[in-house]
Amino acid sequence: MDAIAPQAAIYLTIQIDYAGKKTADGRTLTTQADVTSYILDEAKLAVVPFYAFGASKDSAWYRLSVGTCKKEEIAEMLDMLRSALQKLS
Amino acid sequence: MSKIKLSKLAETLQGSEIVKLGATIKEKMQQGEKIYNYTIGDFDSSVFPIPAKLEEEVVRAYKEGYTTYPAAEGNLDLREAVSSFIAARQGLHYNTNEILIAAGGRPLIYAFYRAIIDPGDKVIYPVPSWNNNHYVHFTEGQHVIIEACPKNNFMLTANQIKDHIKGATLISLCSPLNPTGTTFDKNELGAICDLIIDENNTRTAGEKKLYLMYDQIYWTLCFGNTHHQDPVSLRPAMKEYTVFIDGISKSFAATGVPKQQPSKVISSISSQRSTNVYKKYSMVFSN
Repeated sequence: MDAIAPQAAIYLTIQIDYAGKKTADGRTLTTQADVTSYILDEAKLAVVPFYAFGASKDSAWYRLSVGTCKKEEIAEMLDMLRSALQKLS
Repeated sequence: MSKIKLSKLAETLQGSEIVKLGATIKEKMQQGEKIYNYTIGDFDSSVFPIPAKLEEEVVRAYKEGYTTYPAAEGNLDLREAVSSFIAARQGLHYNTNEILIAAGGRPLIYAFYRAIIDPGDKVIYPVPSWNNNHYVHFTEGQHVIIEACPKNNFMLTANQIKDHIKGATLISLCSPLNPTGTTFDKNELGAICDLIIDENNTRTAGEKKLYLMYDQIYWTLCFGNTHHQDPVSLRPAMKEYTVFIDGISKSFAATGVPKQQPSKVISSISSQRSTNVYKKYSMVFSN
């Protein structure tokens, strides 16, 4: 994972570059759309892929909006994300 | 039953990826799953309520009977307030007749595209960005899409733009940028302005100019050492070619505050040009 230091507005740019990885049940995340679904299903994290903003389909970057983010949920969200990503090989 | 026949424009609209994703998320939540939903470019009002003063003024305005159509171009006291705000905070000087108010930025963006784009005109815009593809589609312009790079914080550079600028009608830029939360720095934005000024200097009096739409709707939400940059402060000659899109809905977390009151969700459009052409459109959208 990577991120770009935020400067303004209510958005954080993050990179989830896991296309090509295999899930615990042996399924390959072939496309970036597969990664988006995996993150939603496994980590329960919903973020908007940059391809929804016109970037190329294989862009691994996402918009995370903080406008609806509750501070006390950040730690548990990160735990879920970490454990979802650790299951990939 | 046969499919209802709609306009060519409606039938060729691109589906929104966010709407599709939103439907999946909603379905999961309805099934009782807890989702950390950070997809919405909006505020949770229980976390970010509007300022108490704004709420007070909205309620007061309703009580005082501000419940009918406002002026088509925006009430004069509001345009005066916008004019003094940008003078005080950005050092930019615009008369009230150069400022238009509407309920949200989108009607103004659409009106501005409509006012300058003819079918086939070149519109340069970066991706990722918000909705430029749709406005170009609506106005049948020619898409000139440039992919911004992470190494430049996803902001376009003058170098990326320069080969496309000949004959273009509009460059659409946004800073701070939705979706990235990043901003232009002085040097890069200045260099882009220089390209626009140089290109316009090559055009004859009868030719359409190259305009810059500069969406700065998030500019009051800069933090840390980030300072908002704008084309007209950097290059005063840009005033002639720049239309700003601005508003209070983001800075006051007031994205859904009704539009009738003087303190309503405000968007302003400022231009050096005669505002007549925009007035025509503002009547359509602001009421």
